[in-house]
Amino acid sequence: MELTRPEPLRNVAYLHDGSLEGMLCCVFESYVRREHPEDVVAEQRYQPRLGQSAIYVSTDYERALRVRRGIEREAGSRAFGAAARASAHDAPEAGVIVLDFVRYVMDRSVKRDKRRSVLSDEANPIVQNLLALERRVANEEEKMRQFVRFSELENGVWFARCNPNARVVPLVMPHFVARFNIQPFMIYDECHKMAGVYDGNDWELVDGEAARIPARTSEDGYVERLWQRFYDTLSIEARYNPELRRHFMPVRLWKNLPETRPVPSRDEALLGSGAVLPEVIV
Amino acid sequence: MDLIAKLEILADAAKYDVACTSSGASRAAKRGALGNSSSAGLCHSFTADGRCISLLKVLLTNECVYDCAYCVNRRSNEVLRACFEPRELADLTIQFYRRNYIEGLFLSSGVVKSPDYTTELAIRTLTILREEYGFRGYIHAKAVPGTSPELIDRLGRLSDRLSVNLELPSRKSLDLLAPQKSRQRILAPMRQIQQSIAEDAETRALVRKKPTFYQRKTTIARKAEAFAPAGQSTQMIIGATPETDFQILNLSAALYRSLDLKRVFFSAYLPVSSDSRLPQTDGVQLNREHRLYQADWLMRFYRYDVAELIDEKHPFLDADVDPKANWALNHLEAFPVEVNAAPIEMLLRVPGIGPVGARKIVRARKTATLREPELRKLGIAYKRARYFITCNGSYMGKGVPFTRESMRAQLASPIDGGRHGRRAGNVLPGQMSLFEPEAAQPALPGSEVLAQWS
Ligand code: SF4
Repeated sequence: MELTRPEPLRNVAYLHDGSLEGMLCCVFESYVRREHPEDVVAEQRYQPRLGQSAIYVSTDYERALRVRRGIEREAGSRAFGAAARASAHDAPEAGVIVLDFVRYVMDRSVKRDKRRSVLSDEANPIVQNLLALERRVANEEEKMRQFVRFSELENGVWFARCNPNARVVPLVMPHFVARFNIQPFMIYDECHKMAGVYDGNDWELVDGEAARIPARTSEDGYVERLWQRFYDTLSIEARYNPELRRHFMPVRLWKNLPETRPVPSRDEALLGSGAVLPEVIV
Repeated sequence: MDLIAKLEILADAAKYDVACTSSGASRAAKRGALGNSSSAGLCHSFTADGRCISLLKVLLTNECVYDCAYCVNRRSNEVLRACFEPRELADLTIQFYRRNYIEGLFLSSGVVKSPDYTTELAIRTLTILREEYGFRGYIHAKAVPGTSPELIDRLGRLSDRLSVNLELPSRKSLDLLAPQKSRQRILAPMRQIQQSIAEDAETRALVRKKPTFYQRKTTIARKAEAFAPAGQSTQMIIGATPETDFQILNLSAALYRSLDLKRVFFSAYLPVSSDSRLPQTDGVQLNREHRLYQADWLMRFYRYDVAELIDEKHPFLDADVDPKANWALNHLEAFPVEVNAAPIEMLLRVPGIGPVGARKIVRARKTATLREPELRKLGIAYKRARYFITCNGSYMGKGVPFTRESMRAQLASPIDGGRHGRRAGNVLPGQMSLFEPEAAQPALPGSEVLAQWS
């Protein structure tokens, strides 16, 4: 395939649609244009810098796949997995860290011991940055496995709402699909406006569009109250230690936990009325 | 009595039981069945005192025919009593599980009528869960001392972990405070559990052997056969009776060695009774409990022998210095060690280097010479470690004389348990269970807590 090679730009930011594939297309683009962008970010999160121009790189699955295969060929699937996971983070520097990492593994002029994974080179700052980012995303995945809470809706679907600081919903779906394979469910990420939807058979990722979701069953409110009571009962006053609780269970996640929600949904009047949960995708 | 009130009573009565981990068993998900368990375990919430909530931890009933002095449920205590129906509790477990509130059930009970009767109720509950609902989540059951072996066997096959509480660290104390529970009645089920787990592992090892052409392949359905695959644990109450740390640690070392226990939990005694046989202080020995957990951790994962940690002449663990630092200070002749060359066993003995850090050092030093900045990047607690290491030949702890006293002052680590009221200066237990190293996940919350004393 003959590639067009535009003039390299300076002070440029690459914008993508926020998906992993979009991010990989930005990597592709930087090879095509032979330039090193200052920023690689999702369009929705872009904050222009002074004197910076921005290009929107559209997502092309073929190109993304070529980048993926390239990384896997040069560095193995574990390295690709680390890059993919790291790129899910919201931090503005995430895109550039992943880009630098990919350029590093693809660079044939760097002499490396082929028998050892690039990732074991922990003293290298490029690898270090990527691993640190990957770890942060992995931590957030763990938080979701811990703190996602489902409610039973009247249409038989189990619904959870969460607010992670990275696009981890697709990363945790396999865990929930395995565990809850007998119940159709949906995990809605209100920060990234996306949802993982499992229909009892297969799951897919859906981008958020507002729609009304059905009311919760009346039993659901009751079980939630049982849980709240259980939670309140467990604290041992003599051991009160709020710092430690916040350390393990960050306050930013509390609003989606029945046991810590500031305004408890114990209000009988709201239960089952359809007004409890705001608009969301179906 | 409605379910909410019942739950409150029976959760409240169970909350002093410290074992809360859901780790150690892995049961893969199965199509058409609810749930799975992973060996790493998960905490689904944290109480206001920062303890992990992983399991629905309740008593089947808080009625009890026994009268153990240290226990809120003892017969002579006037408290509100409640009892779950087996089906009611099974349903509640399923409802919580489906909402991702919990990893499973932790079922304990007071002794209602007789040990066998109580255990039968527990078995009925677990049978509904496992057989009727096909539940594959985690179940930890407590065996009641005095239960007949057949019922223990049945209970073990429905559970992932089975435990018998040792309750108190010596026979004398047991006789004094829990006269109905003789030592024999506690140890008999513990031995039975140990044997069943061992036999079970043997059968499974046989089955895993490579089949020949002449043998028909046999597989054992794990769910039906495995006996408490996550093993056995126990707990004892600290501070209600006069045993020393020396006695307690030797006892737990013996339990690990001879009964193959997975965990021994310690629980600082909280005054719940005005019985004259018990100490009537307001203070809870949380710091002591914390040091005991640290020592326990060193025995299980750093291969320290109990005799290295404590001796009869100093029968209590040092309050100011954690047991690992204490060992190092008493063995200055073994230090400093060269981080770029020392074997991993020696790295593990350096205060400030934990198992994760030691492994990272061994990996990283293949490609680079490690000095202060590299060590810091690897997440080593450099401020503590520097007194015990050399980097490429140069000693990193300069400025402080290489003597026990001056280094001890540098390493003193008061236990930090927050800044609130009675809690100030105390630390909770149980948190150790958050980072079972089998999980090998350096990123788990709590690694900081470990780093404080590693
Ligand atoms: S048998 Fe158990 S529940 Fe009953 S009094 Fe003794 S410790 Fe408490």
